[in-house]
Amino acid sequence: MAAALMLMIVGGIFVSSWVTLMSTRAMQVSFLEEVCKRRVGVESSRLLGWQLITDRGFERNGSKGANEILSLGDGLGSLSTANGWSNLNIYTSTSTAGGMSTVFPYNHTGLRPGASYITVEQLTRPSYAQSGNIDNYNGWQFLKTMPPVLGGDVFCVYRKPDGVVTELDIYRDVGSGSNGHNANWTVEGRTVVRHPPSFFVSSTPSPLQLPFRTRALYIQSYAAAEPPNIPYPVYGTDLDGDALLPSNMPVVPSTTGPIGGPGDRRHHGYLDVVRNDDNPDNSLWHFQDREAAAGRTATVTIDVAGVFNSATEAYWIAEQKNPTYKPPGWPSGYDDKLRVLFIKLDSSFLKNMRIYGVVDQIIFVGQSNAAAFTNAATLKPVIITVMPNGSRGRWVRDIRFERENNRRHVLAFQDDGGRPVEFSWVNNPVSGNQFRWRCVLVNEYQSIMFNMPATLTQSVRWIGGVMTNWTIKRRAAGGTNASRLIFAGDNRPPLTNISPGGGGGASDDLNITIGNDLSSGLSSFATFLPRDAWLETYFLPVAPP
Amino acid sequence: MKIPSRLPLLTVVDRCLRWFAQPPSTPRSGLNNRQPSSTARRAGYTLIEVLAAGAIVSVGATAMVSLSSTLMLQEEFATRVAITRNHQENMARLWQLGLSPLQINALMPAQAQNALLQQAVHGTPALVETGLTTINGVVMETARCTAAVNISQDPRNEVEGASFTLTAYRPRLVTDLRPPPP
Repeated sequence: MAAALMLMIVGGIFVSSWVTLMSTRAMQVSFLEEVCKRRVGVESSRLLGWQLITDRGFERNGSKGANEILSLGDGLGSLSTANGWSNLNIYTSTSTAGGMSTVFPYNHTGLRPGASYITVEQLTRPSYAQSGNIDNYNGWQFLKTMPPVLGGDVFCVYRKPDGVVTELDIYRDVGSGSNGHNANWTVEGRTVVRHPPSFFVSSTPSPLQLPFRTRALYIQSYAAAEPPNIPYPVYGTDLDGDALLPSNMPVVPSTTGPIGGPGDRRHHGYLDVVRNDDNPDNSLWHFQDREAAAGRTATVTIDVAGVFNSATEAYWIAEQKNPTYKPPGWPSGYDDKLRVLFIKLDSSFLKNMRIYGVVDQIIFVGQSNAAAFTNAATLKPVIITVMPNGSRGRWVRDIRFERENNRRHVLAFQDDGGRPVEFSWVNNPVSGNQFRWRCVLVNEYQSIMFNMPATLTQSVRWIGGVMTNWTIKRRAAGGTNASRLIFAGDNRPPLTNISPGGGGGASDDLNITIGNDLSSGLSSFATFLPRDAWLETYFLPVAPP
Repeated sequence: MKIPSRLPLLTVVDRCLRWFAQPPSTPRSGLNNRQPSSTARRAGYTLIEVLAAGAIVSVGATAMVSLSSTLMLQEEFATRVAITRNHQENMARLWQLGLSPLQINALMPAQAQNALLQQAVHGTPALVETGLTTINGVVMETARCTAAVNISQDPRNEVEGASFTLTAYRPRLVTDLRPPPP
């Protein structure tokens, strides 16, 4: 009987425990809905912070008051703007990763700031009354900018201009001889594609293989992996000639800043950096103005074709009835004389230049010997912009690169019709068979054709990278050997303590070191290269006390 | 206070206590130790007592069985709720990643091919985009994801149980950058 009673007691305890367990489980399930709501609400908060910064952070001189409460609703997400910001301008930010040592709470996530200009914004959870039952959190937003060509993105292809129905051609093999062109070259760095649809018209093969060889391919576009189908598939060719898949999935959108004209399409992959009055902070034209205003480098404007010569200037203009270097098709389509602008790149008197289509040909005179070539690396870098003479007016049609160049400069073309410009190398390299040409090429809506040196054993190494939103090809007359035209990054740009926005002042000075070639007294190359801006973000819950 | 001795349950209890109080060395009964009838105790229970006790035990047992089945049913429904809400939350999170409702439906496990999901969820959970919301100038897209639990115990029929709606937000920019689905 005692055993029976003990059994009853144990059984009773068991039943009680079971009932308790079941009721606890039922309560737990009833909380599940609340938990789902909280998780989605916290994610909504994070996305709200992302949208706020992406909308406002890249807006020139954007401001946001402190402690502004943005609430999506009780338990649905919310944030506070913490300290807010005034006249935020990521392109003129003087904060750099190297100069900041205490404000980066990046240890938790492994996020490491790169060598770029940077601004940190903090978003926090507002009061309990506003945010419902969502946990406390801090959202950190890093606004970063970096010249892509200095970050290893050697060949950057942006979205083609609006309203253009033909394709952005960096892949077709068209015709032969001096009129044909192909895409056989080598990129010793990463190729970045910002808008794959720009390559596609009805006759474009799909999937599209970019035929030029490249070390890596990065598709910086959401369209690259749009499920369930990929509408504009693009892949590349590696340095061995094998198929190369893009190294990424859809990524955080980046921008070159607000584009000119109507609309707010900062993140659509456009390139508008040669002369962009709507975003002067990332515009080469306005960089020139700021350099002049700061007393560093004056700007010369070539808008008159008159013959000009000067012993103290680094450029001169000549009229040649029998041109030294006859452009393709000469004399058809030209006046009876060729207007030629000479620019001596190893001159210490060289200034920033704005060149209009009043001349037909530009001859960049490089260095003639090894000593001059070495010395040119220490000369101050300059910006040279080339534009047509008025809307759809005459344009510079022929560019000659004489010998080799080691002086850093930005060569920027802007056209409104996609008209062709021929690049050719003349004379001989300083040594060996390779023309080394140090230059960052920016191309907005101009069709650029690279002509290989006449001697088949000679090749071209373009050092500095390319940013383009329109066709770049190589003339078929130079053959198809991809190693005859090489694009490489400039990994030793000189940098000095010059603020990028022209604000000057010791307190604003940049103090970043990219590469090992700090040369005091020179303008900073990196500070007036066009930059991409993007957002890096993370979101940390605050541990309970 | 004196306890009435006529109540059958108390009578049984009283006898039990008496039985426990009895020394073990003194047998209560036995053929060889039978006492004269004049001093013999009353042995056994009356029919009323047995019936009453049986009724009590059966009520308790019935209650236990009922409770057990209720708890088992509750556990089954809890599992269904968990499956349904998990499915629903994942739909909302995928939408927050930038997918369209069409793409989400294509990506989520199909109920027709998943017996557990089919059993747990009533109908098809729906994610409906409800337009744009502007908060202090920040434009966010909104969507509502609604799902109901199936509370039917008959696998051939579905009965709608608790319905729940999740409201989710995402940046407008995500879809602004995307081309429309092909």
